[in-house]
Amino acid sequence: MPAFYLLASLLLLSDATAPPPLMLWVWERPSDLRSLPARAGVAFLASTVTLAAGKAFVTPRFQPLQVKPGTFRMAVVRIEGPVVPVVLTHAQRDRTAAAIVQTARLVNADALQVDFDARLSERAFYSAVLKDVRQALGPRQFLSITALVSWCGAPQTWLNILPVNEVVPMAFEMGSGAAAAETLLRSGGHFPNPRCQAAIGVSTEGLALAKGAYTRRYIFPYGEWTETLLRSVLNTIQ
Amino acid sequence: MKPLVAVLAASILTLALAIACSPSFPKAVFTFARHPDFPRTRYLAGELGILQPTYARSYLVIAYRYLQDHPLSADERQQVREYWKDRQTGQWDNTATDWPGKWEKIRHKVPSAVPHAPNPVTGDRYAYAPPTNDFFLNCADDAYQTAVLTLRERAARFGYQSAALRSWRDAQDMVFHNCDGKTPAIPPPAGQALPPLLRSDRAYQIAAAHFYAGQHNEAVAAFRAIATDASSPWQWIAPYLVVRTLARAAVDGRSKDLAEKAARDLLASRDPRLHAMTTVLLRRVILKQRDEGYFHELSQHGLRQLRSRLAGGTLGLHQSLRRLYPLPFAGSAVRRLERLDSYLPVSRQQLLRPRAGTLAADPQ
Repeated sequence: MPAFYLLASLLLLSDATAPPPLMLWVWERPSDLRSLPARAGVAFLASTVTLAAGKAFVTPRFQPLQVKPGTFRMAVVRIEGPVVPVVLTHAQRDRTAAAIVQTARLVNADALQVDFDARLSERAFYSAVLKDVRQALGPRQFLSITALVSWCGAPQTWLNILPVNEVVPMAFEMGSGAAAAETLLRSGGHFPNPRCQAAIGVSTEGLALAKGAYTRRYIFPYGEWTETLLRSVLNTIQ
Repeated sequence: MKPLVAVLAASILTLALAIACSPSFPKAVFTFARHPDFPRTRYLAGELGILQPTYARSYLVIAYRYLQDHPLSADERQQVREYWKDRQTGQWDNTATDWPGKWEKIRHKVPSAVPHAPNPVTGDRYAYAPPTNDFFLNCADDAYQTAVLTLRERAARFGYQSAALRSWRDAQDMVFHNCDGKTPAIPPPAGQALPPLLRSDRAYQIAAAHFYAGQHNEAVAAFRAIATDASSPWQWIAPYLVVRTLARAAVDGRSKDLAEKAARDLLASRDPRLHAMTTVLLRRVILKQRDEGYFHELSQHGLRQLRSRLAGGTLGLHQSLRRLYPLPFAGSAVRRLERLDSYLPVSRQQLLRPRAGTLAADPQ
């Protein structure tokens, strides 16, 4: 049965508009990326959903991001889980899904990404939210999620049945598994889970970890996207 | 021996798989450096445990009170809980009144209110700006407050059940429809059947709808017309709203200069009802000049004040920043001051002197 869902998920991929091979994450900073070439797009934090006090608080983006017309724009919605693990409610699920859907509609981006470092106890909630989002936005919406590398450590995990087009393992700030993951990635290897093999996310200080064969690379900057940093990344990631 | 080796090998393999598959921390966590153990309610009640000097200042303040044998009162403990909730949620709710919520309630007192749920992202307050891919505060709390108070007053005169008031409410709904930047909705002109007061209200609602819909030329013209209408209850504030519209519409140097001049001219008129709000508006206009050196100076000024005020134990800067910056930014202004300087790709050699009569005159 998991194979069926994986196949169904992969079929969705063929119907959605895919982002370019290089995506730059843009977080909570004013940014001017009008010099980006066509082979690169922006994945910008468009809103943040904070789960706390039994509610879901939504904060939209307040920092300007300038890109030239035609640049591929991926709206990222970051979910901040509760500080202390609690049972997340149906109301929080509904509001989180609604916030993600509305962000996608308001921003009218070319693609959508959800970023949530879900705890083990929060995976059911997250899966349900993604299911609701997919149902609301339909199969033509390119839907990506970030992933902790620990989620990618086995061929069959909860990732396999998620209704998303793309899973992006974040190969930076990996915690205790960093050494093993770095060794794997520096040698050009891929994570065991097949859903974690098409795309990779690295920081500007870890570009070497993205040397393997990937359909797409996401780059996270420590600091702002200066022209110098941008040139460096574009020259390194061809 | 062989079984022992097998067991050891199996254990190591299992351990390796466990490391590969499960999230884990690099070390065991016995204490927290920045805050007391959970639940924090025990700490709040005076069970301080073993205090760490590395706790955030907000926790040390609580400890200081208990150690001085001056426990927090019930009201103070509730304030602390509110503060923790604000930090946890990133929502700065230091205003006690939910004016959008109040508007939603009172509009239902007039019959046939169309059900409405606020957009979860915009909250019927923010609008999306496609050129800069960000959101801005479009309909502030004062818009909803004015609507609530005005509807109350008009209901006292004409009755919630009257057709006139229903027309008023429907027009106001159209005004607020523009708050999250959807397709513009402008109320129709008032019919002659409406009482004169409500016709004046309608002119104001139309001007406001143009403003929130981003139709700045139409808004300026409409507010200017109200400013010359002695019979309108909105005549007194219309000049300010003309300036506010010019400020919002300002996108280049020339239009920003125009907005700044209009604000200064209004201040020169010395209308005491408009002075404070126009002063704040003028500061925003100047900040919007995107004078990079001015931002840099502002951030340095803010940091100097912040450091001196933290040392002195007061934090009035936060309140003063709220008057300068849009509401959402002010909610984390203290935290972001440190980062403001990094937003500006300017060197100290490019720093420009602050304009006379502006930042230097800022009492904070």
